[in-house]
Amino acid sequence: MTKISSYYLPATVREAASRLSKPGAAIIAGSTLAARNLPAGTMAAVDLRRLPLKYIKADAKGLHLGACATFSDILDSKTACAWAGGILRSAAFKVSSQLIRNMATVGGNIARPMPYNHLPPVFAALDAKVLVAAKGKTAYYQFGELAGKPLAGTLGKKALIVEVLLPAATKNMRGVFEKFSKAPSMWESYALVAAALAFKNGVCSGAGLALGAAVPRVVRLAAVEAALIGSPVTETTAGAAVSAAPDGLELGAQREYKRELLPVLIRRAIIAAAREDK
Amino acid sequence: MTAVRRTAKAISLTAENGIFRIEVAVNGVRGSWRVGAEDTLLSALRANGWKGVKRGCDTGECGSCTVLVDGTPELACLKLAVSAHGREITTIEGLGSPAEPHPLQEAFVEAGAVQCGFCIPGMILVSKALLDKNPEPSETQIRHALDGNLCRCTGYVKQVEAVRLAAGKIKNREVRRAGQ
Repeated sequence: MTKISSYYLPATVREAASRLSKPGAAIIAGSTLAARNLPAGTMAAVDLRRLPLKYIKADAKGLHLGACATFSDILDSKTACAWAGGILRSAAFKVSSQLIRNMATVGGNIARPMPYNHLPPVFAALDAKVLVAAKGKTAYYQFGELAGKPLAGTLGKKALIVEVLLPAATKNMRGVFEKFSKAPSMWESYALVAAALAFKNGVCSGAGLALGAAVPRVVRLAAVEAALIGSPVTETTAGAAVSAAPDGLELGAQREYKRELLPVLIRRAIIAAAREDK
Repeated sequence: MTAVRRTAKAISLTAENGIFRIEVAVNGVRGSWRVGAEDTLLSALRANGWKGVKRGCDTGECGSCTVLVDGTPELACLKLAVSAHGREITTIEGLGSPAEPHPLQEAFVEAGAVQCGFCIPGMILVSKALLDKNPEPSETQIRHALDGNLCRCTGYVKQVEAVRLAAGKIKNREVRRAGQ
């Protein structure tokens, strides 16, 4: 374990970001993973618990999830639980155990880029924006941009996640979160699918589909989304849309199994989301 | 030792020779502890005499090390001890005593929910947090609350019964108090 010599509890985002800009600093938030696995060379821990980031609130822009809000906070928020057909509630509830749900934070679930994390597929499917403080500036980034420049590799290190914003347009989407793992409480799933659909007069007018766990990084299934839009969603149209999924996904270990599993799981999520609309 | 510096509302702790000095309240007793930079809250609690906190898996899987941190059940094996600075920790010893047990402790005994007992401190603390928030939980809610506390002796049926029994005891006690 890395031996730290300083422990900071900043009271403002600015102060936290300033601390993180110094060499050898690392963030501690929920303590489910980071505290006992601080990066090599860490000299100072920056504990975020006193920052005013443990909030969940909705306004005209959408649903704001503070970086220090926990999975339990999501489950305690009626607004968050109802958002996009309950997709956030489902993703939060399926996290391993109540004790982990009490500790793990929204920011931590993004900053530690583990393929099994539940929230990244949901945020990708719902076109989330992430407010990040770094180098004295605060700016929103599209969730999909976090893995690219200029933030790549800096989240939770030099860059501090402040909040996640789910756009207001996603509030009434019908969302489903599917998890497939050996046991429901297992963190290491085979696959996670987040599906969010919008309908107008029974026709699919918008779609967000994202895949996690089966791939190293969350993948947005744009071709499947495009195939769904403009038609009613039935077993037939959902099956046809799923066949548009890209062949070149980086499936890693157990790829033969995943090739069989994924079309079934994605189709199941689409049909379930569509069923909610009826 | 540790230099503690506060700027505005920020707190800064600095270790000397790898040792932090933290201020922490355990079961209502405020104290100043010396903790190593690598110590977990679990090891610090046990080193300071709070042996009701159990070391099980040490990886956040079993729930034996559950404590209440500012009233919320958390896993002491995953938290650095230094992170407890300024916090209120409740262990099983803080709930009741053999002479004056907490209704949950009574209920776990009466329902026969205790076999080897290793997991019970964590289960009771999780149950306390549940009943503080929701005095009349359903069986499903109780099972969800306890889903991070593993018991290898039983099938969880008696523990669920015990939480429901405790909920009734607490309600009756409050009714009696209101009538006095």
